[in-house]
Amino acid sequence: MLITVENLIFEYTGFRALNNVSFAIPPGSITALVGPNGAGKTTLLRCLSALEQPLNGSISIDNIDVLDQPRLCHRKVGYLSDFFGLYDKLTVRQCLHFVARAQGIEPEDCPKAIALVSKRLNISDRLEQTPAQLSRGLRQRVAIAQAIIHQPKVVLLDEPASGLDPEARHSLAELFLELQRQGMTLIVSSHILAELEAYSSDMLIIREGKIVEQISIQQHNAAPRKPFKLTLAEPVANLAEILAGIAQLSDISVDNAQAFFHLDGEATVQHQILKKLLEQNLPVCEFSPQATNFQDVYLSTLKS
Amino acid sequence: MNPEFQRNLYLEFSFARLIGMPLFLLFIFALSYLINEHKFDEETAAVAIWLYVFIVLFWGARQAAESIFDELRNHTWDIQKTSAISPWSLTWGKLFGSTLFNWYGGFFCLLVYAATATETDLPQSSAPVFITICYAIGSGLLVHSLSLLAGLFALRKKQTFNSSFSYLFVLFVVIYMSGMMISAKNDSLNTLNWYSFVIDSQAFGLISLFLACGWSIVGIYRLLAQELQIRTLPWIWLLFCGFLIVYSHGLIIGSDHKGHEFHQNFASSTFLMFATFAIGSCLTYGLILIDENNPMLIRRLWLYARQENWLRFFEEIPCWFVSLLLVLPASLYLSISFPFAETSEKLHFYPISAFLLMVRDVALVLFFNYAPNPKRALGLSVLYLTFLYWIIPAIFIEAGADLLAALFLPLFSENIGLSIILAGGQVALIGYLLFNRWQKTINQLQNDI
Repeated sequence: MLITVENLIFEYTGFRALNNVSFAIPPGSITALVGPNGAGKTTLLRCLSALEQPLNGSISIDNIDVLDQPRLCHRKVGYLSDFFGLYDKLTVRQCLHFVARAQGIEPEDCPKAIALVSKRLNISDRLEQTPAQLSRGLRQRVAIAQAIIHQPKVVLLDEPASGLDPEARHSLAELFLELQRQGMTLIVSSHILAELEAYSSDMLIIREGKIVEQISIQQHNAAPRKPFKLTLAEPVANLAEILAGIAQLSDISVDNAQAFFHLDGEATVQHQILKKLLEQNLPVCEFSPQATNFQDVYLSTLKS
Repeated sequence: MNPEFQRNLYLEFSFARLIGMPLFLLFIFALSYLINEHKFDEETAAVAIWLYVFIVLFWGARQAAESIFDELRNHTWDIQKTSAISPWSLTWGKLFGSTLFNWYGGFFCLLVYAATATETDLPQSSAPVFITICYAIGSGLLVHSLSLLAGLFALRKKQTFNSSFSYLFVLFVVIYMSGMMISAKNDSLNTLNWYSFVIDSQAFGLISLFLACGWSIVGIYRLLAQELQIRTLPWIWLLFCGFLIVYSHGLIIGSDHKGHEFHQNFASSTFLMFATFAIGSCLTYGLILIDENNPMLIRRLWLYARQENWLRFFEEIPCWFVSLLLVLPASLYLSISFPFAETSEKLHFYPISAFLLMVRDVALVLFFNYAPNPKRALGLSVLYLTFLYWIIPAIFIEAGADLLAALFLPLFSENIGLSIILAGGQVALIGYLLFNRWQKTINQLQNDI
């Protein structure tokens, strides 16, 4: 595992923000950190980026003990805070040059690093402008460029898409996938679950300072038991009875001409069931797996 | 080049500013030349030195403090905190980078001052001019570093409104340093004794000034190191306390050579302990009032002690506590060698009682800082201390109720034992209130868990 957190406790005055938080994150993943307001997302990200000292527990990133060697951790981690700031009086090139130097990149290597990161973030044509002259989406890109200019292994992004228009969000999602392809591991916190769905491979649900669940989206989608939807051309009185008679179906609910259930089995089983339904002369016009989105997973986890 | 210094260069040195500053000064000096009947003399030198005070001391102090507040306002502080930049690079990058333009202007002012003042000082030697220039540079450096230091303390409290307090503090230093600098050349004949050394008072002042600069830069370095998550033991603070004790002890012993009567009554070690008591007290009060005081610190210290994690324990121990600990042996020693000194007709100096009152004051300041909304803790602390030390005792003294005055300020008691009991009672009362408030915070936390 690239990131391992064990029994992390962080307290503000009279308030425990993180309560025995433990989890592990594999390399090359994009983990969506989700939870209600005040759940502890920002505090967790700040602890991971060695900006805050927790009361207790341990954090290891790429075999570095973050609490013992916070400065070493800064070299491995790129962090973008929710209220990120930019040096508005400098040009984008000067901003990137400053961060590159501050991250220990040698002066002679800075132009190369700036060219690489600006190409990666598609801001090469904005280098001579000041951040104050840029749109919110472009400012976000400059901020991310600053966070990754030193090629960190881990990138922590706190609410990176807040305030962005749909087009900018889409390109941000593409960018995250690109960073993942280049071998970076990302943790992205957000409220907008639909946006996280576009690129996340894992989901970490935090509530009241505790990790409620860690889900691998790929494994979740690959699970044999899937939610299905059946739509008929017209309502059938004994639909519930017919469905109850099929062994592979569970959690059945019928609503007029529609039925929802979980189906346990792969494509062959699905074909067999459809065949059975047609044999019963049901006027089937739709029989399809229901796409599970982050919202469903998140809400069902919080309910449970 | 230091990245922080370079960033400040980008910000401060545009072509227009590079040309603008000497041009502005040229116009001012030309005006002064015309007003002064076409002469460059001491009037011009005075204009140059006042321009220096404005450009380097006032404006520079603001620039140095803003180098921290700007980071907070623009939400860029996290960029620096998560960088690989060293605290030393950040220290001099901020200190000299943010004020470089002011030094640029100040350089021209000092150049004009040197040219015109040397002329007018003749036939005397040009040494006073040199001393004034050294004072000017030292004052600028000290004001900038103190301003940056005040900004960093405000940052630790995460309260940018403290910037106005920092400015007030720096303004006071600026005015004081300006006075020192301007009067420097008029004060060349005095000498003073430091231990057995006879030193020219100007040279001593200058050395002291640059030592103060050095220590304030060390202070900036330590605060920035903590901001960058570099944990340190409080050795440097102990060294600083030790330096101040030796420095002031030297002055006390030195004054012996001037034949003061009180020296004959006490041993040198008593003066050393007195210096320890005075310096420890000043540093304790100064630091507890301006530094961050978070109730969670006690919880952390308690946890580290239970885990026997002594390194972390001593890394997190507040510096005011270290100074307070220094005062304890000094007060015990003084209570034996110096027990009943009267400072006025009714007020006495009882070292143990004075130490207990200091503990009470620390507890009081912490009590206000541990409130649910501690933003007014500093103001409330100063207000309450004013009442406890001055207003309430003064009312009772004026009313002839000396015992009641001693109840609030036990140093008014005629009896040392009663004074200690009264001071101890106050420590117990405030300590009880403080413990209750802390316990309430912790209980709230337990409910969350």
